[in-house]
Amino acid sequence: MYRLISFLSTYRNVILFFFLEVISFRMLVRYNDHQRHQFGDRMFEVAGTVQELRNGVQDFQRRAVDYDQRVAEIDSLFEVVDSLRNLVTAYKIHTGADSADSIRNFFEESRTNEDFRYIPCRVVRNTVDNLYNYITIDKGRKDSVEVDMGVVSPTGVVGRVIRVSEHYSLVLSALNVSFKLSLQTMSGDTLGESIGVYEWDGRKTSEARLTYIPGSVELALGTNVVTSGFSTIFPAGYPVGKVKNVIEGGEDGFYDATIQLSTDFHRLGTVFVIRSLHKAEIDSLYQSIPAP
Amino acid sequence: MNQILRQVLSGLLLILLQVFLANQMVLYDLATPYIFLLFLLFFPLEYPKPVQYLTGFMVGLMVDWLSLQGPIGLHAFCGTFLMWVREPLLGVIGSSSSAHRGTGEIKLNDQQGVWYLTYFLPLILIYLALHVFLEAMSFAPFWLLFGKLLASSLYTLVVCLVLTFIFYRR
Repeated sequence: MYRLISFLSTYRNVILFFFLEVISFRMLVRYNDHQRHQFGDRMFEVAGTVQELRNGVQDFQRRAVDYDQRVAEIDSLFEVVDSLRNLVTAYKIHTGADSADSIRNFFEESRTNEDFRYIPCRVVRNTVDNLYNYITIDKGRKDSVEVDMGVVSPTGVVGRVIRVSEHYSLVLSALNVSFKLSLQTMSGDTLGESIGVYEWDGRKTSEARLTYIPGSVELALGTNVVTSGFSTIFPAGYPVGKVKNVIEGGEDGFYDATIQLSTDFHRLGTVFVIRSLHKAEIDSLYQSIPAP
Repeated sequence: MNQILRQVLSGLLLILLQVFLANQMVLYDLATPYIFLLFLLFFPLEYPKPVQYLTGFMVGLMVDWLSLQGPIGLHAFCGTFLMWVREPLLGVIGSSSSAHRGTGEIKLNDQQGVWYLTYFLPLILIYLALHVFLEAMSFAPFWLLFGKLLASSLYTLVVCLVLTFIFYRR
């Protein structure tokens, strides 16, 4: 105790100095918008880097454990390659094209017609056990990620980008009570009608709610539920989940359902940010509406 | 008592001059003269260090608040830092008057002309470097910020030197 007091009295000037500096710095980043955002971005960047370093170590351990699984995955990839090769051969026979160039041209042509581009990213940080869950991914402004872009995993919808820094982005997870999305059914390859709004109630990481389903819609258990094409964030028909349970008696004329999510949020590895190539064009149409 | 009162009054006067006059004297949208630094630079070294640090903090904060433009807390941060850093700097450059040479004691308003340049320039550069880069919170448009830093430093230095030779030097 005596030592502590003597330490404090020896360094009281330095302590006061640092105290004053900390106070003024806190004022600076707290009461001033520009400084707060810049500082937040910096810290976000630092946190992302630290997290990535930590993930690197964990990844290394996991990789050693998952070796067998990887071998199996590679085998299945070889199968995919084989079937693609068969497809290309069939295409060659069908069209009579024989050079690799003509096939490449064919794919390039179909590429120019697409509406969305997928940017692959790695998840560097992910939470699932809060009410408000967020995901950090390792692509940012540099890789043309922007706010309000959709994020999907190979199996289903993951979230929406809400904040972008130079090398990282923050994603509002679908497991976040403020995440909303309009959905529709899909049977086979045909899209059904728009049926309701996605909501997460914060209980289970594998289930979400589908609300505001019109009473006129008959919903069978096990129906595939996919994104509706009403926004420029997600392409129409991207899988979200399957109807698990129907809850009768919501608000007048509407009812709710539980859906089993097709994304496993515990094992997010690689995700894709969706860049809508025509978003600016569509938005500019809306902006051309004359003010009433 | 008389001396303390004079300190307080000159401090208030410089803060008001800074807020109402100097902040309006911006050249080419680039250089601002921070004349209230004179008060901090000439703050007596005999006073206890906590008083010096608190003065730097409070004066900075008052300029922040009264300016109604720049971010709150920025001058407070830089002012505290200035009061802290001038002690080691004075240790390096020492005193120029022969009367106090060797005793380690430095009288701030009893020095030769060039001495003020060596005292002011590093402190003003440090102050403005902190101020400019913390205001932007980045090095992003580096040459613009660097230009701002140099221009403001030079402007502040010139104005402070002129005021020093008129009012402060004995």
